[in-house]
Amino acid sequence: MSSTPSLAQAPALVPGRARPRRRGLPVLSATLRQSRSLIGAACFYVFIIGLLIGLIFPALTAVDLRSYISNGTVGSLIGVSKLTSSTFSAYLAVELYGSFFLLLFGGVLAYAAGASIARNIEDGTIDLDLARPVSRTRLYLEKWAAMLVGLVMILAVSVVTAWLDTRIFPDASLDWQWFLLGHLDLASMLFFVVGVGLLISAALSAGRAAGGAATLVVVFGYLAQTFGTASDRLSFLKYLSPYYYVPAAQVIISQQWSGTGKFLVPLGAGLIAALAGLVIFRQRDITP
Amino acid sequence: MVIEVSSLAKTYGRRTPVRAVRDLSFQVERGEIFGFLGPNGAGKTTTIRCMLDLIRPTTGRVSIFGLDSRRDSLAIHRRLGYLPGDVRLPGDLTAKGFLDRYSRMAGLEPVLLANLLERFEIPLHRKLKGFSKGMRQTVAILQAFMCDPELVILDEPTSGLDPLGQRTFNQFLLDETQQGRTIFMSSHNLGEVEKTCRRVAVIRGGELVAVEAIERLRERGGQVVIVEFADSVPEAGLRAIPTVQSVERQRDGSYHLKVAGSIDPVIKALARHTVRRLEVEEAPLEEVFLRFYTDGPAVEAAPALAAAESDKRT
Repeated sequence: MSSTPSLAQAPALVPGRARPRRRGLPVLSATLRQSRSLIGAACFYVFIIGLLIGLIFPALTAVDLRSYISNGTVGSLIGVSKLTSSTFSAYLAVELYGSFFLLLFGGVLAYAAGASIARNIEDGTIDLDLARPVSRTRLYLEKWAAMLVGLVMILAVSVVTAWLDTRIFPDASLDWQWFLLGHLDLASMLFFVVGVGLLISAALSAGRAAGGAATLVVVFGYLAQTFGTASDRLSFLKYLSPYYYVPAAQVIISQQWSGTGKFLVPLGAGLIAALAGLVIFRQRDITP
Repeated sequence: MVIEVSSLAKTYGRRTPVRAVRDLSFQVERGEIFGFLGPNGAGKTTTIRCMLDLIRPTTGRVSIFGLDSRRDSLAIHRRLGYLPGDVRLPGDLTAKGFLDRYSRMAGLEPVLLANLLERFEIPLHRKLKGFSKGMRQTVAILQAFMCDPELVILDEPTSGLDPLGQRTFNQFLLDETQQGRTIFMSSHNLGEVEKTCRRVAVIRGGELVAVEAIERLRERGGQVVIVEFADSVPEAGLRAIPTVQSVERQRDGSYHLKVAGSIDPVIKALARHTVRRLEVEEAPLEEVFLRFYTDGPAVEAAPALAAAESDKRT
């Protein structure tokens, strides 16, 4: 093949002297670093809104939310079908854990998940990562884990803020069992959102486009829930919204579990979406 | 053999397929600096990305350290360093944080970092977003070498470096091969390739045009004879000399004869006249490369065949 003399007389191979070191989870920490503004902002707003609701709760009780929500259209917009009590838990659920939560914080998480891989492909930094002994599966799973850490952080801030409300404001009391079950529903919903975001991110090579597309899925979920609940003719749409399966606010208000079967639907869909993303990511060419 | 590329082909797209590279075959031996040359869009980066398993070949295979680049990518990546062509670094990290991150990803201590920092000065504690292009390139170079890899793949390594930085880097590369390290380097910079590489592959339009030693290329470039006569000599007579390829008359009255092949017939022909000045120079290597970049159909990778084809053209 080559016309040059063999280099067999080259010096004995010296390179490769580096000692092994602990790796840790460098992709996870880099992804969290990359998404810290988005996740930090989401945590901040959950905290501020939670505290504000605690602050204005006495005034809120004076508002007749019950008749307001009994209007089907308004209820479908808020994501609460009926308000059966006037407790702090119920008002917190209406104001924070209804459709608003999916739309705003689900949207933020969807954007972060959607951009997580695609942005690195777009800016070329993933080339450096994958040129190291890091498999695509490991990289993907660390990205996924980073988004799940973000999910846990948002929900943890929500729980801590509600606890602070109960400590600061004398009228604010929570039924913790139903409050935490409501958060399980929120976790299931956000898990779905993260899975869809990663699937889109694995398939695209442009961070903003992937983040935007993932956010649009969340917006579609909200619209499907709104129209599906408000109109009988469009009722089939509500089955396409994660909120139908895990109505967190309604669980807190009605103190009624929506059912394990329904709870597992967004979880399963999120898992399938994320695994589909993994398959795509393992197969695809990494080209900016 | 450190790298063995066999019949590599990559086609992008299905509806309107674009053949980025086709039937690429070459080998890189241990301890050599191997240059990979070609104009923009020739397929250099596609080839490198196939080597790194970032993209999957349509046909053919790449073997590195005797391992398959797809199946054994992790084992290969443990032993190599990589410098991408378009270096983008996370601006929110300091240079130290960045190097630490990639050392952790390699799972290896950056044993060479202290030595590298003696040659390449960078402010380790400053954030990367404040770095100039040359400084970012330098950090990326450190990243590629710091864990003492056996093979380093460099895509346009000196782009962004100033002349002093380029000189330091070229000297560094030569020293590295003394250590037994193998370096595969794509480049546009012919001067750099000439100074550092022992062999080169030239790629054009996705096909390999030649794989040859720099010395062979230099020979192929031929020689330039600069001659000034005391008396008047007809230009047609100079053109008639068998190995003279072209004749150019200069303003000062001298002639530049481009010679391909033996210089003996030229000397004998010139000896029939009174020669006032005679100089013999090697043709610049750049001309050889430019001929590869622009001439007719690509030829087989085998050097003998490539030489034969080139001779035919000349």
